[in-house]
Amino acid sequence: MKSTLASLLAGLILASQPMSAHHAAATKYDENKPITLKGTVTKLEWLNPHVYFYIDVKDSSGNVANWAIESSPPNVLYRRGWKKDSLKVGDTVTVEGSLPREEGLRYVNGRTVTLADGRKIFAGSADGLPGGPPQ
Amino acid sequence: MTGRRVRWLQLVFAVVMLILGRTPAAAQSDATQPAAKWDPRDLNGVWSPAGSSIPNNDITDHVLPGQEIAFTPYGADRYRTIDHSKDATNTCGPAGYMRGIQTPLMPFQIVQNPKIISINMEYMYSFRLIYTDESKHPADIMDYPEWMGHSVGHWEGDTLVVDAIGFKDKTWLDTNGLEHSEKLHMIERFQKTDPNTIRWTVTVEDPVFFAHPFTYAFDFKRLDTRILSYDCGENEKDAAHMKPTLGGTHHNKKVLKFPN
Repeated sequence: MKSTLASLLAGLILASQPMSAHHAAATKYDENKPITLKGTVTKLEWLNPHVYFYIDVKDSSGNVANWAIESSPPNVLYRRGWKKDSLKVGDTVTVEGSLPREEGLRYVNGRTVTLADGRKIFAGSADGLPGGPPQ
Repeated sequence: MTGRRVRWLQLVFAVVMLILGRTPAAAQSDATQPAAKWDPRDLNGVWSPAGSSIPNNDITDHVLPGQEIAFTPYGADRYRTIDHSKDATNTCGPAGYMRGIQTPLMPFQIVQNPKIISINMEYMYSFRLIYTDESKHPADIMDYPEWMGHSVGHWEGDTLVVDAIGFKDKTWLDTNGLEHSEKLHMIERFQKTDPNTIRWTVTVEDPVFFAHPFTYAFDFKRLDTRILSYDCGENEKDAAHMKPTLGGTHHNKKVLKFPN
């Protein structure tokens, strides 16, 4: 029982590591640039090679900017039970992730996405497939 | 004949009888095992690596005990300077056979008949053929290498043994940056250890990159799923923003040996 729980926990921890589908995520994103954003979903692209969704984020001055959040490949999310309508336009979400290495881009490599009611969406996906940042 | 020599011959005779006697006894013991209700030569199905220590396909996590990945001086230089932003998959090139089936999150489907086995990979939606009809490698395969190489297989008992050569040198052995040359030669063994597990053991030989061959293994588990579509180009937004990222990224550095 203990070992089952331990392996479950280990699985959850491992599953939440940011991974990339067709390349090493570290070529684009910098794990040392963490960011947390809260915003409203404006669009979902359920497409290869990575699912993207977009959120409007308001800064302290009231200015709104649209950010792209990168997630897993759609086939990976689908097998984990997530569907196209799991995340809807208008949903409020909090995204934790990392920024690109390139300055000035409004992209985030999504690590966790949390809905207003606390549910984690695309949980543990943060992107998906082989590869991953240099260790 | 002296009594001593007689006793010695009696001893030899007894040992020989003991050895001979063990064989039917062992066979009898095996015969009492229940017959397999599954076909050990039937590899059909959807499979995916299991038991990876991380959600990755890092070969150093799978190298067999006592094995090491020993680079040649050239291989070591390449390993230290490999640029992940130039990974062929960034521009939607094939991931290659090894990454295609070592990837834990995108399964592959084996479709088999007595003369040919097709391995259909979800990752990059690509396939590889293994000829089991006593075909030989084409005489000019090394002059015309292919993304997936050329593979011929035969059965040794219930193990499928595959010999593969003729790979383009643009693919990697894993996503962590283990390259190979066009001289890559792989010998693979596919052995079903139960109805839902294939033990895949690979020996990699490439004198350009590695000082000597090394062997690693994965267990593939049967998955109750279907192959879904995957391609790189549909909505690609990454390649334009990638930065040079140098050096292999393997975890188990103990098994990497550098000559310089």
